[in-house]
Amino acid sequence: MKMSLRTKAIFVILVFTLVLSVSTVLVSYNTYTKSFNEHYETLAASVAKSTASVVDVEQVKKVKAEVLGVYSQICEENGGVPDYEAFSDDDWENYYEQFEYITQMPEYKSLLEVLSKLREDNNVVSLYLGYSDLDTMKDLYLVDASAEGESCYPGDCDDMKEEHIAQMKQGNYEFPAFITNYEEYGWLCSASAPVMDKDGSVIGVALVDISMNEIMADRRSFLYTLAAITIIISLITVLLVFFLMNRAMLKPINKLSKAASLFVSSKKDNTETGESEISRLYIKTGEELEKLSGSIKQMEKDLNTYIGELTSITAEKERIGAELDVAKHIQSSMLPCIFPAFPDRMEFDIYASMTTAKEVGGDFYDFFMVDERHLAIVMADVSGKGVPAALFMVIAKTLIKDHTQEDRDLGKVFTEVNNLLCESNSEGLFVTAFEGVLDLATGEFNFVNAGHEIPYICKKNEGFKPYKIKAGFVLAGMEDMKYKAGCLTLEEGDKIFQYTDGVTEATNAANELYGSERLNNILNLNTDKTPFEILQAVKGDIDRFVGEADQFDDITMLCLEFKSKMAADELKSGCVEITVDAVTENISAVTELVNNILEENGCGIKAKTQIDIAVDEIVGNIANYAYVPDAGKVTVRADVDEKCAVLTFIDNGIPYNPIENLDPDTTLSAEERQIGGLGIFMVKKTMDEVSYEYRDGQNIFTIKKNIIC
Amino acid sequence: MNIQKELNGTNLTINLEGRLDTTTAPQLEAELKSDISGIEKLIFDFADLEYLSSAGLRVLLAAQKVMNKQGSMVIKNVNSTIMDIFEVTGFSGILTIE
Repeated sequence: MKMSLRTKAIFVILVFTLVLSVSTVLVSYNTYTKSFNEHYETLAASVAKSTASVVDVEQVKKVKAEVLGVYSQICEENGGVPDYEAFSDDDWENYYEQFEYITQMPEYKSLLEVLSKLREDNNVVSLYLGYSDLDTMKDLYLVDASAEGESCYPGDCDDMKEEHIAQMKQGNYEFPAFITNYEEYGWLCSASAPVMDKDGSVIGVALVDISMNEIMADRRSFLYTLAAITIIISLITVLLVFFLMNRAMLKPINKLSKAASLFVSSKKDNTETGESEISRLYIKTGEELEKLSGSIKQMEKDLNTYIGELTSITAEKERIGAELDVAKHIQSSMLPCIFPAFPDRMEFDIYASMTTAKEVGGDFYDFFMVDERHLAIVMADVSGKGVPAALFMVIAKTLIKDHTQEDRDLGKVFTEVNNLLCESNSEGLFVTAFEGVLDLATGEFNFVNAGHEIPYICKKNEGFKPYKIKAGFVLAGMEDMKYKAGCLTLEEGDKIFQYTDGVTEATNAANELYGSERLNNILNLNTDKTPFEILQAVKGDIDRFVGEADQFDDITMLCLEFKSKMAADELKSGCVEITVDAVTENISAVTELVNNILEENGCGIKAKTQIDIAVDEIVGNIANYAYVPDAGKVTVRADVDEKCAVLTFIDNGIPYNPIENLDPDTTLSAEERQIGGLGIFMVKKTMDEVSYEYRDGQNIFTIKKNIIC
Repeated sequence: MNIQKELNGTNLTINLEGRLDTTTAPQLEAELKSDISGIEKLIFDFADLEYLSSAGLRVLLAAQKVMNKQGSMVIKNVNSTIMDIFEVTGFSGILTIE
């Protein structure tokens, strides 16, 4: 703001009053002067006229004749008009002496008396009769009744005024009155009137000088007074206007301005009292400003309502955003993301990465050991984005992992997963998925594809090639779809690269797709690299291609290298676990599982039988006594290597330590023998170690048996 | 477990094949209950029996008690595993093992 409203207003008012005052003073002064001048001219003219008519024409004739006679004689003697300019005081004295006698004439005296009376009556400075001698171009004084000491003698003369000569030659002696300002005489208003005889011929001129010094002095004081009054009135007006404006406009405006500028801070300070600066405004001017104040108050109310709504909406948005972040985090943490994932496995190397787009998406990869010698990899993409896709992804991932089990056909896995996904698919989502299971002992790679991108396989010395496999229908698309597993064999050193469409459909600023050709090229430039380096190279290549453009889809990749076949001795060792309902009918299933792993590890018949009996006794006990009268579960874990078998039995039943049981007396006869406790007794006798602990509500019973033949 | 019975007058021979454990012992118990009355000599052939558990022992003990009253009971062709069990549990002192 260059100039405040107040300054502007004062400036405008000042200029306005100044102009008004000056013009008022000028106009008044002019009017005043003009009217006085007119008045004086009229006055002078009428005095001259009345003098001309009052004087005795005969007397004038006589005096004129005498004066003119003397004058003519002097001119004659002098041989022309005397050079008055060169006259000394003596010359003047001589000159006047020749006219001296005229003043003694009764006609002259009578005329002087009349003129003097007229001069006094009319308050005139000088009143005299003269004669304009056209022959010598001189105005001759006849009778002068001016104030004493200022009057001229008869015969005194002035030069005729040039402008009058022509008019007088035509016989017109009527001259308008005029005003002069000589230093010698001051302000004078002069007028003349011809004195005429009965024939109408001009015999002289009556001349009047009225002093205007007084009135001119009046005029100055009038000017000063007028200016002073105007200035005072102007100042009063300015102050009044300023005061009124201040009170009626500026103060309310400043109040409004202050209240408005304090809107936010007062809102913070007064959140509890609820009274803002604006709501405290009191402006009752009854005009636009009051209306403005009302509007601002209304605006504040509306703003407050709006801010309230906005605040709650923002808070809600923030909450949703935070929850989405958490969801995204949970989603990404569901994927195996610690590498190397299996540091103790020398048979293979695996690396996977997912670069998420802004939103939570539906891409996922997964890899896990199905058992000791089978590694499963999964790559999938749920249609759509956002929370629905993410939730569906979680379901799909869980179902696939859950259904992928040892010796299970992958076609069946996908068929079952598809049916389950169809059941819970109200949103019409679908999943493209690829799953493969690598037998680390043989290199056999079973796979199943549900509408997903085909993998790149890198055979030794051949480079990466897309491996054409028949794709089944997408998962969750239609119930009862049948999926068929395929199979190929990987040699040591072979690699598999699998990805989602986010890779090939990465888009640069020119809207070009990354495409499979570029992917193929970059893969084949890095055939000798580790999976980690390959994914880094592909990601780097995509980033270079995409440049500054936004990422729209998740970029998910997985690379598996089959380094070496599993050594034969590693195959034997293993750990299995089974959880079943604790009923005697399930004992055989447990026994079968345990037997398999024992056989795999070359356990001898006797040890196996003893372990079988132990399983029978312990699980039988849990089935018969642990949960009575309710039902429950039992978990059996068998950790077996070629030397030793450790079996752990876990149930949530009544706490019971079988080791504390007293051993039965084995020396009694058949009739005396009690059958209870015999089973546990047998276990204790046949196993190398037994131990029991009760922890976290669980009975944990562990047996250990050396199985070397 | 398979149970084969051979009745020869008052002699009853029972061939057991498989495992005599918690699950299968009740089967044998039921068979014996129906057939044991009037038997004077009960012969168990364990040639094809892999092993037995305490549940099996319980059945054998019950049979032994009955046969002590009405005749005799013999167990034949016991393998070493089962023999160990009999010895560990003191059943070798109660049963007649041939």
